[in-house]
Amino acid sequence: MSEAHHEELPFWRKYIFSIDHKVIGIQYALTSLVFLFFGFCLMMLMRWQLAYPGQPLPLIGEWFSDESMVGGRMLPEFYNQLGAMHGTIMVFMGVVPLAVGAFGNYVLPLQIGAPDMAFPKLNMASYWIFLPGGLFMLASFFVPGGAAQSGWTSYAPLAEITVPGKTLFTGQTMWLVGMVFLITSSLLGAVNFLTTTIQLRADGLTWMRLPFFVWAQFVTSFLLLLAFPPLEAAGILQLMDRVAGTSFFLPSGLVVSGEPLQVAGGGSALLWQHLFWFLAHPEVYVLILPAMGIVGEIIANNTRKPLWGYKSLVYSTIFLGFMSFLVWAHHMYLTGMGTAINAFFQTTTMIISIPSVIILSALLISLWGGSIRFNTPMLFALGFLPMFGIGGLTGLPLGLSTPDIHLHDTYYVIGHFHYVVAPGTIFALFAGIYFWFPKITGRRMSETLGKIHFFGSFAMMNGIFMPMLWQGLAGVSRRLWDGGVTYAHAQEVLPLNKVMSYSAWTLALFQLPFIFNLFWSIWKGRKVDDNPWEATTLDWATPTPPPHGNFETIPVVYRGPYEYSTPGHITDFFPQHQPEGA
Amino acid sequence: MSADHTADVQKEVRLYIAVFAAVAILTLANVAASYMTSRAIPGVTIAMMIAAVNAVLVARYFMHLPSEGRIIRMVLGITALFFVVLMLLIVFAMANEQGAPLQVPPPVQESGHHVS
Amino acid sequence: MSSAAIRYIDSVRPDTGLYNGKLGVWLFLASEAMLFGALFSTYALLRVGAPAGTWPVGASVLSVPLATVNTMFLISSTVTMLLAWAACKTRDRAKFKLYLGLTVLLGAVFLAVKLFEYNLKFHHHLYPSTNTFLGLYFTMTGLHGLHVFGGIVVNAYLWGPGSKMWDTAPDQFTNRIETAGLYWHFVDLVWIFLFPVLYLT
Repeated sequence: MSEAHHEELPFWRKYIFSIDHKVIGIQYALTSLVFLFFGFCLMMLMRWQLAYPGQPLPLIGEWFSDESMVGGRMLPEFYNQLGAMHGTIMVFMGVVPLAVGAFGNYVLPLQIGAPDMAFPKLNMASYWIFLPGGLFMLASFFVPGGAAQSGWTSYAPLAEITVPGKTLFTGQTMWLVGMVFLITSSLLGAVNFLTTTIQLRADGLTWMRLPFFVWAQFVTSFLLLLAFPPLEAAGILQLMDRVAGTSFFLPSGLVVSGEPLQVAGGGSALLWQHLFWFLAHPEVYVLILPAMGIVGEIIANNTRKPLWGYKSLVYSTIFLGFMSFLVWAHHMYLTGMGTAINAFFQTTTMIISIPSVIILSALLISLWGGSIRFNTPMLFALGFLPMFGIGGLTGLPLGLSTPDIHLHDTYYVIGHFHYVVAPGTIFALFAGIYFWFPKITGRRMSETLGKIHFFGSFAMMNGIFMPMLWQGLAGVSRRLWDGGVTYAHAQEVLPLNKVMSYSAWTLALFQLPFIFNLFWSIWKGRKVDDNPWEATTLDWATPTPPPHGNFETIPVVYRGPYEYSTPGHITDFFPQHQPEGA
Repeated sequence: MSADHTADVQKEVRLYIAVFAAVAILTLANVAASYMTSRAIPGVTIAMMIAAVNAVLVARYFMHLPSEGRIIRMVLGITALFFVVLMLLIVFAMANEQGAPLQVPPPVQESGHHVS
Repeated sequence: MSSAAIRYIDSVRPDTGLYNGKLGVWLFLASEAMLFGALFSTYALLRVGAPAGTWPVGASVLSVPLATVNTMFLISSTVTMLLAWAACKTRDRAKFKLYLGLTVLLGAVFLAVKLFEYNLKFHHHLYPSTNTFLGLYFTMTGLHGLHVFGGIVVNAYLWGPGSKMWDTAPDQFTNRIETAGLYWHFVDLVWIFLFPVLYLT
């Protein structure tokens, strides 16, 4: 059915319950940025406790109830809640909704020349399932016993016996229900993205002419589609354990605080780990692939030359997505698995590093011989490369089961994955915001504020996460409420806690220019035309902002996505949809 | 609608009824088989085999899977692969555990919680 | 201003041979296969790991005859769904209403029997918490039941208010019935495995 509306929709259907992918994309962006900010605040609270364990939190300490902070001093239970929810919120309510829900929704249909997603109403449903799920998660802080506090990984049996209760309103149970909402939202979104990419590509837009961003979102959607359901199943099983008294994950003979647990038993705690990591490993590729897609677009555009190794990028992305399903138990090396299965997962883990390296290398080599423009999106894209490199390299000793014996559950792991997600993915997302802002608003964000944002964030991110690698090598465990103060092996590296905390709080200050820039530029930013970056892809071929339906007629595509500096062409960019001889 | 079209659809309908009868009969056969075999492994095997045949009949004739095109078959093929990975690797991983493989301790016998 | 419309809603895209809804529903079914697959894995693992003699025989706890009859109801509903789609293709509105109505009815009967079965268990003090087998029984059939319920809601909508599309866009409506039918067949497929796994082994 044509969505060619000639009459104006009422406000609530145009901006609230919109079925337009661009409005939904912006809804996802604003919501996920708010959640990201919340998750960031949780981390800043944790960093106080780690820098000054047991000390009352100045100024705002009194705002917290005695259940979380007695006289402003953080209780271990509250620290654990902050830790579990920081991870959950950042991954499931911040980064993925921003990378996939926001960027994917806004840009994908534009880049393939489609009027909207294949299922616009389903798209709206996805957002409106995401939002209550996220809010429900946040609400869990306010129930008796507080929010979930057994890690974002919610391992059984701890997650099941902590703050037990048959009601819906305990933190862990709300976490499980929230996850069911978030997972359902993602699954519906994945169906939409996949169908849209397969069915609604413009004429002439063959698979190998797709922008790398589209390939990245496509593989990401497959990961979401097939990897999330086992976690949804596991979540239901854990819900049954908590609420219905089953014992899918509770072994027999479990004794808690001196009392044998009154359950039938016969369950397996390790089963939870397998089902959880079956999703959670592909999830990390969900976190990185959209970022690589964004970086690819920005690098091609700001080097004024095609991406090097487009085919390698595409095949590596597909191979990476496939392999991501076969490596999950490298998170479980220390659970007592036998040598055969350990060797299997170690092998697949080593293999999966190959496509990652190919992708990073292709992006790096793409810089060679380019006419590089150092605008803000490009700075963030460039910053992504070495940061992801560090993140990837630090993954190697974790992926090998022998060094992992020393490093598992230490700060080294936290340093590793934060390098990939924070100065990795989040930098790419910042880059994307600066890059596509002009398409959404018709104005550019301030370059000066952007550069302050970049350099400050880059320095501070390293200030937070490099010391973590150091502490981890020294053996400092993760999830310690007091940051390792009571351990002899941690004493030498304890001062780093203060370094990291001050870096984190300073990092927060450097986000202020960004937040200001984002809103100020909507009204006061320098006005630009429809294609200020002189880009070749279809998303820049629309009016600004793109109207409902995006294109008057479906564009026809004549060439690949990165025809920059094409020999013989009069300008240094040749848009995909421009006919020959133009 | 043309008469040919209606005739085609009617042929399809006869096929659907036939497949329905087959699935129903196989289901009854499965039930009968379960009464005849013991609780040993073969029972599970026969049950699964008959179920698999039923599944193929439904997928082939009711869901028209063979005529659905390459993309659908590729998607389902990949799904089937990961399904198998999920099932087999987890069981294998737990069977390969150091010490006590597949350590799922027996349910408690005391305090009235016994398994029938 | 006018703008391009979303293509391939009722027509087929040449290079894929699919219309959007069909691809969408198959992708969704793939994810559902992984969902139930995880539960079947759980069943396999916990059963294989259970010490000898501790895992009950399905027939000793559950009523096989009742479930067999119920299975017949579900299989019949899958055929009536197909016949409803055939009626759409031949534009026989009366038959469509009859067969889709039967599908909804048979689905509702299936659920009713299921609830009756659950009640029977509770009456004998058999709960999900009693042992792992029962926990899995209630959880797996419960999730399946929720899916049956969802299908009934969709089919009822298509039988009632949704059938207005028969007049405005019959081809798109036929596709919707096909799509809903694929979902319904899948729900039947899951039961085809669930029934023997839980009741016959």
